[in-house]
Amino acid sequence: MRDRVAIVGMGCTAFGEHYGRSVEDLIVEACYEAFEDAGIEPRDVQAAWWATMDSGELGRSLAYPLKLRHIPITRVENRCASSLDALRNAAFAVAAGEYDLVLVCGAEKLKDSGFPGVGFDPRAPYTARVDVEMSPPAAFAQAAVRYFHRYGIDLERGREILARIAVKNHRNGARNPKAHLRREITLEEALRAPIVAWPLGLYDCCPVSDGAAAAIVTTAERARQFRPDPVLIKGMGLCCGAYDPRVRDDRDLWTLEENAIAARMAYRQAGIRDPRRELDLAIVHDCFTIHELIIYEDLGFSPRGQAPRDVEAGAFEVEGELPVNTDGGLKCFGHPIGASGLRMVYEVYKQLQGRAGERQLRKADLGLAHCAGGTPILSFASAVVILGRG
Amino acid sequence: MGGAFIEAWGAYLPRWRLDRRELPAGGRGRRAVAAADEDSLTMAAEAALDCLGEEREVDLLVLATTTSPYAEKSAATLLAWALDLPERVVTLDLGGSLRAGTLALRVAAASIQAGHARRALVVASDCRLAPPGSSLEALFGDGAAALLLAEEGRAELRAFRTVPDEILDFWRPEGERFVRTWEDRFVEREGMLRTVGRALEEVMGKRRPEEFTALISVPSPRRARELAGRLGLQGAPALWEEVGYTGCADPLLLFCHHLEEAAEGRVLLAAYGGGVDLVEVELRGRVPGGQGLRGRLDGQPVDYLTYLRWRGLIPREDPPRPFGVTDPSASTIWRERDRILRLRGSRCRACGHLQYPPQRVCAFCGRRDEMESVRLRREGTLFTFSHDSLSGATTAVVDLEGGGRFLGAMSDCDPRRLSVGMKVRLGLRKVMVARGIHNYYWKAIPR
Repeated sequence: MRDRVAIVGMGCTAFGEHYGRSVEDLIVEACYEAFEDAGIEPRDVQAAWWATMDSGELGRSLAYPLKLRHIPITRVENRCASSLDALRNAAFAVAAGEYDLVLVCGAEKLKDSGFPGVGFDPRAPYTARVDVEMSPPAAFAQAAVRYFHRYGIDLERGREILARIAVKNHRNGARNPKAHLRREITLEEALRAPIVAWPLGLYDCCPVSDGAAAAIVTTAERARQFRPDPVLIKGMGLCCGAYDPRVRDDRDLWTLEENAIAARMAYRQAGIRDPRRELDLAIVHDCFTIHELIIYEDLGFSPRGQAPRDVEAGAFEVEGELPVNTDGGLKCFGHPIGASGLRMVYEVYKQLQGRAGERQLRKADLGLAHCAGGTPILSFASAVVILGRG
Repeated sequence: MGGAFIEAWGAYLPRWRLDRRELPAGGRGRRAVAAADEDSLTMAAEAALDCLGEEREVDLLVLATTTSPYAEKSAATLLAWALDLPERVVTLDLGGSLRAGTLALRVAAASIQAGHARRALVVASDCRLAPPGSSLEALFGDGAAALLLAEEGRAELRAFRTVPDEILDFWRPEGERFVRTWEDRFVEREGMLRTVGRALEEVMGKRRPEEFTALISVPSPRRARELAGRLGLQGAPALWEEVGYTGCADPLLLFCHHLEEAAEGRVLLAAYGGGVDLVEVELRGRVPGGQGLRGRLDGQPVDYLTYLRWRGLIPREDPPRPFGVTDPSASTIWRERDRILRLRGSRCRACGHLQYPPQRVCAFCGRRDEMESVRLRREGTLFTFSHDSLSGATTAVVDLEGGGRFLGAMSDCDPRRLSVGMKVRLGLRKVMVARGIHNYYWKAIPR
């Protein structure tokens, strides 16, 4: 799959609490920005992949606002990994030679539920409703407890390490006009914030947001017909767990293996051996700071048990060896479930094209986007996409 | 006809105590209060498991309660599932009277004596409500007791005498939540003193009071002492000051409390409620019990407002519901009842690993449909945990003794005092009530 498929247009709405905008509004905004970026008309789109968790069933819910009649539209759901999974499937269709020009769109409207969160895991209709329904913070707090326990990290140091990650992402998000939260915070503020699910405090958790993002995908051969700076897909990975930590008492939560396996798949395709050195940026799934910490190790950025030391050394700051979440991450950009994967690709895309404005990195040739749907104890659908300059 | 004996006993008191000084009606001491996720059924399960240990060979299960979660639907059958009793067990719900516990004993003993059952488990449990501010609110306590009857044992149930009396002493009509009563002088004099006093006199006959230990269960500690004193009977300490009057569980709890201390002698157990039941028991040794009541009469304080919230006596706002959450499905509950209530997991015959919930394809070795159904042990340690400050929910992942991992909620715990490796046990609790379904599951509780 390496170097066979290109992204030639992208769009992304601002993420935030858009009470005045419907999911149709968000879809139109993101997709039309992408159409203009690629220099195409909506009617040029031959097929579409539509990623959302709860904001639209059937392909028709994407066709409706865009009036994309009578083309194949596949609705993809893998919780937070939905839009990277959608991109993956669009890429396969294009690489197979079935289509020249396709649309991938992800969107989520979370703020109409009145519910101060995204909902619980597990979730399925018509269950017995006896199994504990974990809020995401409570689920990820379980992993934090195991990580700190394994590496003998006490409460104070643990919370401080997590707070540093939050401070980093806030600093990056403050320079992103599309981010949901755009305020820098101090370490003290993060440490003093109310606890949401010990050891995670308010600033360890990403907000609940509305938003949409879109990409126009074509073959590598045709890419330059659309723009001089297309972004190529170098590698992709998708790994789905099978609830192992819940059912197997020999499994632990200081590593979230689906993330590691998805990354290895993508690295192999992209020919990456040393991600920390070879990648110029990584946009990863920081739904909670503890997830970003564990991701550093699972994606091979830090050796096992050394992520805290790397955080303290600033390795993943914008000035560091491998900038992570340069756009503010989920923490500040926000997390509309279906849109997040594509928003991560949007940042890599802009960076690779030198169009990241205030956030532009000096060197940006190879970037990674990673997202994961699910929870530590119930396992994940993890997706990784690696992008490079065309 | 053979005799009926007590083979073992068990008891359960909730962890929580409400100081009577906090109550509008006042009083000395404390009363036991069931937690928000407890009810008569969950307490019955605790007492029954305390009594049974690992034993499961029971032919008859009688659940006595005036506060069953259901007016129509057998709570005893639900209890039989939660206790993982053999499917052949006969289940019987006894309610309607404060004497349901002692009547359950009578019925179970008769069944054993007639050879209809070799082992019978009697469980009495109550969680009764009174209007906030009333004297009954201060009097009542929540709790449960269990007795395992068999053809042999160290305590023989020698005689029963039941004297019903038609009187409006305590009553709760269909559809009402609170127990009603009449003027206390009427109830105590014409109810308790007259009925129990006369029956005790008749049963004792010419026998000397020194021959007996009297356990007098009446809803008034003062009148209990008076009754004993009148007849020169030596009583055993009541549970009123630490626990309260526990409804139809009260006589059985008094009895268990006595069994914990005594290894011989004759007991006269009197249970009051619209009449009186007298049970005569001969002790010929120490009857094995569970965890015991000694040392568990005390508990942790809970304040009045929390008690009112726990019992649903204060209206609450409906919280917003996230997308995709539906009411419990009766067919799903039924299909999964063995893994939900019996706590059955599956052990793979090919590789020996135990997994929960039960699987068809082994999570360890991948073989399909080579599983045997195994009941999980209820003791374990915390693998991990979390506490959600917004919802107040505490989750636990427990690694169980003997294998298997359990993901669930925690209860009766201080979320600030949890640690990896902490000892916990699984106890039955009520997870929710939705669409009239009282939904029960196991939760992790600190040991």
